[in-house]
Amino acid sequence: MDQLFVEFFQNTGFYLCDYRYIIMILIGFIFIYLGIVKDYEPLLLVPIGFGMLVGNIPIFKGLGLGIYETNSVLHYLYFGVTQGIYPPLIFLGIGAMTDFSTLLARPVLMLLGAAAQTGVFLTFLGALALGFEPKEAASIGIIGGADGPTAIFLTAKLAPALIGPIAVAAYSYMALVPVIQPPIMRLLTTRKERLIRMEEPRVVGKKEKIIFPIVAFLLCCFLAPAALPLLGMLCFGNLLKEAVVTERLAQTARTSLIDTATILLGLTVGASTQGDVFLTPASIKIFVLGAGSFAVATAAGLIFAKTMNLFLKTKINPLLGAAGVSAVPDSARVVQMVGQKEDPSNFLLMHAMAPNVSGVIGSAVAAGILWSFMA
Amino acid sequence: MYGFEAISANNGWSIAAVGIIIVFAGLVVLSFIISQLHKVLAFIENPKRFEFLSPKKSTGKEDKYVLTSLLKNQKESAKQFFLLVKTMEEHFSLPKLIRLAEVSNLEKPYININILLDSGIVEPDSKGYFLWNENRFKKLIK
Repeated sequence: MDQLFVEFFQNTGFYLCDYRYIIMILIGFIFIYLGIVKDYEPLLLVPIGFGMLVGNIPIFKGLGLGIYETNSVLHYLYFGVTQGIYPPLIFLGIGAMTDFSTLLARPVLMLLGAAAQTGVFLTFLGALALGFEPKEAASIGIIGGADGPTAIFLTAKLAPALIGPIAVAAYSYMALVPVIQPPIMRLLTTRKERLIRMEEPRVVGKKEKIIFPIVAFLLCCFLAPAALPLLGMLCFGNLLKEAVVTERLAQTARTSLIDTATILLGLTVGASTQGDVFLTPASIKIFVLGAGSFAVATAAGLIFAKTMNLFLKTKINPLLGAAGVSAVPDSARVVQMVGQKEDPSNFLLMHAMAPNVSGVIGSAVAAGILWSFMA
Repeated sequence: MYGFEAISANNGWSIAAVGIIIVFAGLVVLSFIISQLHKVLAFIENPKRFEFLSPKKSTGKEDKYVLTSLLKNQKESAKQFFLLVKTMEEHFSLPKLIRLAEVSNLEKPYININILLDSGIVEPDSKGYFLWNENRFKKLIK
């Protein structure tokens, strides 16, 4: 009988636990706290945070419980991450939610979304310099796109072993957009620039909105075919939305489908951060590079917007450059917030959505390019 | 391998440069296409708005006329004024034409002369007098 008690105790989490699980559980608490109390991307941080708790319960190997055990339920759910199934479904939902009107009204703002992708490629260089393999470096670089699904998709294809740290880094920085971006925005712009008011955009017709996803899909996927899974779904979702006659499908894509994919992705990505797998020097490097990547992407957008103002007759507010990263709609909200601190009657949100959604397209194209280079 | 050595060994500089160029090129082309999209749609919906593309070249003169067609009673009035103008010199003054119209008991001479001006049948000769545009008159009373 004593022996039974000893064996049982030896299989409990209290016996199997070590400091790495405790650290990860604490990080999980922080994610849940940030999501619920601070309202930073709660739809992502709460599932990931709870997933961290799930993944860091110390378990007896062989019972088929852990996410890395081939016969476990979590492993089957994680299949959607490792095979890159959830990110395109999320992109379908994003497409069905996104209104490209402001981008269609001022297409020049699309260049800000392209400029922000500079961060992706500079971080790729940084990761190579820190000793990562090219495929790992490409996966780390895409964090600068500030697009969680894209980062997960590319990492699943190029460096599956890094999915955990890269996904957590990408989503952490996306959630921390209101903390990371404002100091960079204030540093790189003058008060006078932040006060610039944007022209009222023209009214965009329904036909334009319907044609846009088709044209964007064909052009971008002919240019970078590897962007097909992400851009294809993004544009398809948007077509469902704009076509009106498919409103029922669009409704499903932007509600039930994206929510299901987000829950499964968030929970399994969180669960993949098992202390013994996650807490490595490589993860710390990834977090440092991710932060750098995000900052560089933001700065690149701002500097490019200032450069554009040298040539444009009607100046644009350079704060919009910061929305070139594809954290939709958080970075656009941050632009609005920083702009309104200088002038409460200046409404930039609508205008910032243009570079923001072009950032989504840009990061998907950048991912496609990196994938095709590394494949 | 670390640092610049690692970047060079893995062809990093070229990949980054080409990647940035492709992303920019793609989005520049896309932004150009969508900037022209509304113009293409407007042309498809209403080709007449784009006269430079239409086979019938406009003289540019017709655009300035407020009236491009006349009602039946306006046509009748124009014919009556034509008979009056034939009695005058080629370059005539409007006050004289009005006086003649009043003497001839034509209806609402001021309004009808205004219609003739708006339709381009009566044109200023830029020297203070007016001319009767016979081509325009024939075209409008057809």
